[in-house]
Amino acid sequence: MDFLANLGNGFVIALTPGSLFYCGVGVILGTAIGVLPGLGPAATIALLLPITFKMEAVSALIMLAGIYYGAMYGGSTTSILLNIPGEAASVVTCIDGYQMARKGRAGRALGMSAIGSFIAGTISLLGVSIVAPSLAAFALKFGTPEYFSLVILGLLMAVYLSEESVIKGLIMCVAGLLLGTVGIDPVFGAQRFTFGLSKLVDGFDFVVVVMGLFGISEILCNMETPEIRDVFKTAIKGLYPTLEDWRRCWASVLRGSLIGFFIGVLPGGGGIISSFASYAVEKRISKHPEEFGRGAIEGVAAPESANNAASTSSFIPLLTLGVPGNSTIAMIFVAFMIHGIKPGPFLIREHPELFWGLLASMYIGNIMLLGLNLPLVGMWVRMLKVPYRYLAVLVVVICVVGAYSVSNSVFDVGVMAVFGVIGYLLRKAGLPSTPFVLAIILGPMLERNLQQALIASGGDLLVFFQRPISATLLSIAGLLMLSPLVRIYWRRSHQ
Amino acid sequence: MRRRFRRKSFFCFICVLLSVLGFQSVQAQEFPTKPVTLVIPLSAGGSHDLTARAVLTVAKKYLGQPIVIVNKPGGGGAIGTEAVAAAAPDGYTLLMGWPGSSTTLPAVEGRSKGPDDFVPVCLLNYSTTMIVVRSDLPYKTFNQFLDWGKANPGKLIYGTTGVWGNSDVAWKQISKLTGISAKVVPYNGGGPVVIAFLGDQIDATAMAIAPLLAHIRTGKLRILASLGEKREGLWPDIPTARELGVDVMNHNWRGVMAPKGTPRPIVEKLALAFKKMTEDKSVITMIKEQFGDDMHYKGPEEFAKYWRDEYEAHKELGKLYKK
Amino acid sequence: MRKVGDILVGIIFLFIAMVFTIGGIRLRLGTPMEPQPGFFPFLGGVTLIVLAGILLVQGWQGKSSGTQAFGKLWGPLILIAGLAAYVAALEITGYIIATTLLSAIVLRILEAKSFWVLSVIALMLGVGSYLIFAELLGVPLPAGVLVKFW
Repeated sequence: MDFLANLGNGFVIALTPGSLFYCGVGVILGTAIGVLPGLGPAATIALLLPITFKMEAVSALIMLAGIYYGAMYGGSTTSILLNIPGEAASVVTCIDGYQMARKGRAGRALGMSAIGSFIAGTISLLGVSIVAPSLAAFALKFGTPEYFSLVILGLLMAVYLSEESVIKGLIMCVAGLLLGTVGIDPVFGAQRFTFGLSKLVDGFDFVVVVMGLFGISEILCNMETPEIRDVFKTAIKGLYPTLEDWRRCWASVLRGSLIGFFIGVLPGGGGIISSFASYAVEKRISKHPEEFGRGAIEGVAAPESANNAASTSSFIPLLTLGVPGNSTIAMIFVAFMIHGIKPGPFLIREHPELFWGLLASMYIGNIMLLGLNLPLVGMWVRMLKVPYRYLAVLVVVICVVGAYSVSNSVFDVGVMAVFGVIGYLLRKAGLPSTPFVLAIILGPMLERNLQQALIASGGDLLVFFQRPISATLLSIAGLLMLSPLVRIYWRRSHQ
Repeated sequence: MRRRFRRKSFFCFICVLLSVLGFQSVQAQEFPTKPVTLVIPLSAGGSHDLTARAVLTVAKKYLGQPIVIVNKPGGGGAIGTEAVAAAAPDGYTLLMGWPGSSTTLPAVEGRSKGPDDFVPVCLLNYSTTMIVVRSDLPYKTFNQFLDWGKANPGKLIYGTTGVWGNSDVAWKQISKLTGISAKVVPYNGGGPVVIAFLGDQIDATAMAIAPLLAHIRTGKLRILASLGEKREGLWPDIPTARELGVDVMNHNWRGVMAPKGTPRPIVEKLALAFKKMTEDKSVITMIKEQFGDDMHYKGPEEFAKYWRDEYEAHKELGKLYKK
Repeated sequence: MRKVGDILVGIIFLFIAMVFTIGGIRLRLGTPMEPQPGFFPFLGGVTLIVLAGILLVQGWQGKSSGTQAFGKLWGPLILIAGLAAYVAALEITGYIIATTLLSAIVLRILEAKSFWVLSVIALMLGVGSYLIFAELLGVPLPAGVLVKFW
């Protein structure tokens, strides 16, 4: 067990007072950014970079990494409490997390999400310590046909989340893909469907869309019956997950961690898709699927575990190949460069102290985050005791400022309001907004990979079925789509 | 995801007010009072991204405020470019330009935004485009590569850093001169091309090699030829395409530009700060050792002329190569 | 029984799908070997036409379900109007005044207890959020007419 000795050396580095201090600073900052809407980890790290010049390489990396994975912990808080997802990977947490909060189980949702994140982070780290290089090889097998199939599978899983009507889910999914084409096309740079509005050239921003679709539309719905004074009516039942919650969730947490770990390795989009995938899996295999969407705790535990595992495994392409998978990881890349270290195929061999020290500090950081987040649960839950009207005002103000801050423009506030109205109408029409949002985010990725795959194969659609990984993903997608149809057919023929 | 983080003081507030009233010199003295954003219209991990990140490590030392990088890839660079062109011309939003979306795409297709919509701030550096292939493929020299490609039409998969980017233009010229053909797959900049290379998704490319360097050293990738005027100092054994009879030259530059209408004093202040950054010892070492590049600073006027000349030349190029 | 809601939804999406399909054709489709910018919107548009058509048929046959009835509409309508006014007024009146008024509207719809509670909380939110986001976090929120008295 070579890696145990290496990891042991890593812990020697990570347990020095200096390392512990920087790790603590990193995770506290990360948690704060994760909770506050409108502040991203990439920008925070960029602003802190100059400070790290004079620090040792290990200390600097430990702190910056802490900010990155710390932000993932905090991301679910506003989803559960206010139905506003702080980041794309938390969209799915809204579905059951917010319903749990409305039923007085916010504490259990937040607690489960913190503990699930901790377990997932640790599992993912263990995976990174043992199989980092071979996992990188797996990530590289993902060419454009595989990405295309993965996105298709992710989208169909999101459709599957909406049990009401498959056809309505599909309609919202395709509508989202089409809306995602507004702006400049991802391959040729041509303007599409901007109708001469220069503000639309950049397309619709995720923050603006979800704040309207989730935050504002929820307020609009509750305003229909203002006499119901309190949306969070029921008494708060327990601050932390109960034994029963654990019995239901431990397997979900494990499955979420594994899904997040593997999909998170893929550069770009991995975290988001893994959160949807794990939710769909839980709903599929659950003995009580009817509870999903009405406050099933597995619906919080699985996606939160997945996105945390994904944030850890997304370090792999950087550490083993020297390729940053997203712009936050690219900032950490700079921290390496400043200290004259080039992450890549030689990193583990040339700078073992750095690689293992960083990994060891992430184990410690995860424990710190758990210690930091569990006490906060009580504080957040107390916030829900405030009468609903005050929370509603708070949501409106957060949405307005959040939308404005995306590009400092009133136009975005208007777009946010329009999406609020759209979200309200969608609910009335029984059209699910989750596949809609996911399709808007993933649309450009789907289009780019479809085009690249078609060009590389000479226009041959069979390419998606000839490559093993791609074919597997599409078969799963096919089974997923067929299963409700089979069930409907079954029901009808037995009536 | 786009998110901004800006620290603004009461002074900045006064500044904005004064600038509206036209006190531009005062504004330039105060500028910058908050972090500046530099948009890179290409993915993280490409040569523009790497170079900018290396140079900006010392931004705060010479500008007084940090410069924050935002990657906005897609559309061959048009997405990030158009976003900056539409931003407020206050010096707080800048673009890292490159020939693809700053020159060729606007000159040929009328997409993205070119020299008419920006104020040039400065040129940081340029590097020679190199033809790189996977080492496990049967061809070991540039001529073998050309022969193989001609003998197996449609087999070769060539990755580019974007439609009408340097690697795309270089390939259009090479294939016109030699008759070689390939399936040309556009990616969002050099970072994704590296991943595609490592995953055996593509066979060849021509690009600035900074992001490929580590993998050339491991032996995974091989340089076949350079598209420079003469051989590179760092790679004396690599022949130029010209000496092998394929007269194609290609350089990829990295320049900073601001939205049209940015006040002159602010542009000058930025240009001066960038000049000092490119002269900083730690930056030069980083660029040299990790990317194998040099710095070639050009001020606003010099850069403007360089860019404009290239723009006019590429209008002609478009007539030749646009389908 | 016919589901009027679903039929209406089907028609709206049919229209949206047409816009994208025609828009895609205008943008140039290219071939599968060399797709052009219109290729993807065209594919999506055609798919959506098919899906919306199925929903229409289902709605006509009364098969689909899942629509929700509207409750009392005045609350949501006032907030929508308030948001529209907010967007129009934000840059003129500035963030603090506009946000205070919008908060007051929300509190009024949700039946805040007294006029005084309502005004005090609305004002606290308007000023407080400005201090947090503009002064502390540096979001350049529009100051509007208040600038003159600063």
